[in-house]
Amino acid sequence: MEPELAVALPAAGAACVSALKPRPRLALAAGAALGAGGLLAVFLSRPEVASDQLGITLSLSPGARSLLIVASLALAILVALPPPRAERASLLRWGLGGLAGMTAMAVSPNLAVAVMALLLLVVLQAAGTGRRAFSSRVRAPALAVALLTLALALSALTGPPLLNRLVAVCLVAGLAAALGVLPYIHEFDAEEPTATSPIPWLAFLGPMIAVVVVAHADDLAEGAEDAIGALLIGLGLLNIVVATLASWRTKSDAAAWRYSFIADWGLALCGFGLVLPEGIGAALLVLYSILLGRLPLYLWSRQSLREKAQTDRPINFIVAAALAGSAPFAGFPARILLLRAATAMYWPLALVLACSFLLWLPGSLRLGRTMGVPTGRQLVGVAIALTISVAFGLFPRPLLALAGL
Amino acid sequence: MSDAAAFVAWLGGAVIVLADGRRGLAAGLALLAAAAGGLAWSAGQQEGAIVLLAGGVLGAAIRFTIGPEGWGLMQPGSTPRLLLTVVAGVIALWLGLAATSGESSGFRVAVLVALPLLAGRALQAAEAAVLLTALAGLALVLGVVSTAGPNHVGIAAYAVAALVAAGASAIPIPATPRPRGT
Repeated sequence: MEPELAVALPAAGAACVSALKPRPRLALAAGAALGAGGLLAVFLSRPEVASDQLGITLSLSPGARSLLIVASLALAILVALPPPRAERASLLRWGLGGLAGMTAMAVSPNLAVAVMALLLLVVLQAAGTGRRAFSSRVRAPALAVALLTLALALSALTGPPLLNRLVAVCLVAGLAAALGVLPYIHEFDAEEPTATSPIPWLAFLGPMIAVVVVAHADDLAEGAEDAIGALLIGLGLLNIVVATLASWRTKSDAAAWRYSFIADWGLALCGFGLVLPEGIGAALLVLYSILLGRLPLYLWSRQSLREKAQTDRPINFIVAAALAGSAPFAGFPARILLLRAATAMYWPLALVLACSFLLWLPGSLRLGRTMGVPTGRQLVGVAIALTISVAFGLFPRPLLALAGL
Repeated sequence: MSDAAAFVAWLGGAVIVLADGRRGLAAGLALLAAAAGGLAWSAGQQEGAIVLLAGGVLGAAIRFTIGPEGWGLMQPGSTPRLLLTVVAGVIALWLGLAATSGESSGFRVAVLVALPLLAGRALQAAEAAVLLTALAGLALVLGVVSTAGPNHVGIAAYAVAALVAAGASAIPIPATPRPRGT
């Protein structure tokens, strides 16, 4: 029964927070209680053990389960220490809605049902009030749904060998469009509320979409596994190079943060493409560091981004080091694992990756400065994010074990 | 039956591509729901067919009440869209009948014609009602696709698709003010 509850409780929490909007404290308490119940259900669900209470077989893979736990932790930190000018209830509502959708995708018995959950998330996010036009908010995620559906349809047909390659292309293109990485970067407005901006696709929902698509890819594109790997690695390298340079050179600081998410996704895509356990582990560590590091830091930097405050204090350099993936932060073991996997598969790739890691430095120094001087809740939040990052950097093994690696 | 469903799927997709008003969009979605139901029925999934049809028709009924006035069929400037419906139909026929096998020919043509039409409409449209109708149509196609292949999960997948199709049509169309805050 746990997978069903893991979907239903956060969804009920999001609905409760919406319904109790006039009474924010009650909304927050109800939402937090239901969200905690959902997290408990995820904890209690045994990986790969199926539940069939609703006429549909649901199960949670170890990787998806670990991502759900990390995403819930990130949401809890953000709700406990909300960024300036952000409402706790609003953060909780959007976060619980996202968690319910992520869990629905994670427990789905096949990719088609997961894409339906994705489609529901697309519609719900677009229903929010944002600064961009409705069409520009929906377009790229809708393309993702269409491409993934095309992959599913083609995989059900038989035909020339090219058909399997086409399935591989549709899967990877659909994943890129859902995430909003190159070549399908979503339109971005620096002033838009985060919940309705492209950031949730990159930093909250995206990790689960990637894990689910990659997990089903081999079944759908039988015989084209190498093509999927090659496409993911190629796309990953393209995103690393373009996004790290853009994060350094772009005019807007908020856009620089957005590109930094895309650069991290480049690493994750390379990790998924390498297929080896070290590669998958590296990809998951990058996703954990996005959820627990880059996303909260971005949200806590938004006030100073508005004020265009730039400082060169020690805290800014520490944040920059964490964002660049230097030791002892969480990005470092991810990079080491990635290099190990690349060396095992094709050593020149490791050389290219090692050189590309240097590209993170200038952009991260810039982003570190945009944090301004954190004070009060923001300072506590930054300290917690950095502490978690150091803990994961020094002891990545428990996290990888949680993901079954 | 699946061959007729393929033709109805093309017709429904084409109407969604060519319509700008809520009546036209609702008619297109209802046709698509009939096609999805027909494909499920011909695959031996009678309960699933009824659920898909119900979800699609409910979505169409909701769309009939929300969106720009009138039918809005083939308004000035819609020639490229008309060409898209013809070209997509011809290519889907070739791919479905000559280049691929497996499943029924009706399934192959229906899916290969509806997907590009709906995706093209979703990419091209600026009006929220049109986009949401295209997304509801995509949900119905997903419902049909979900039962093909080895991971068949039965009526539950049809029910989820029907819910998403109806839900996408019921979403209120948001305004785009300029809010403040994170």
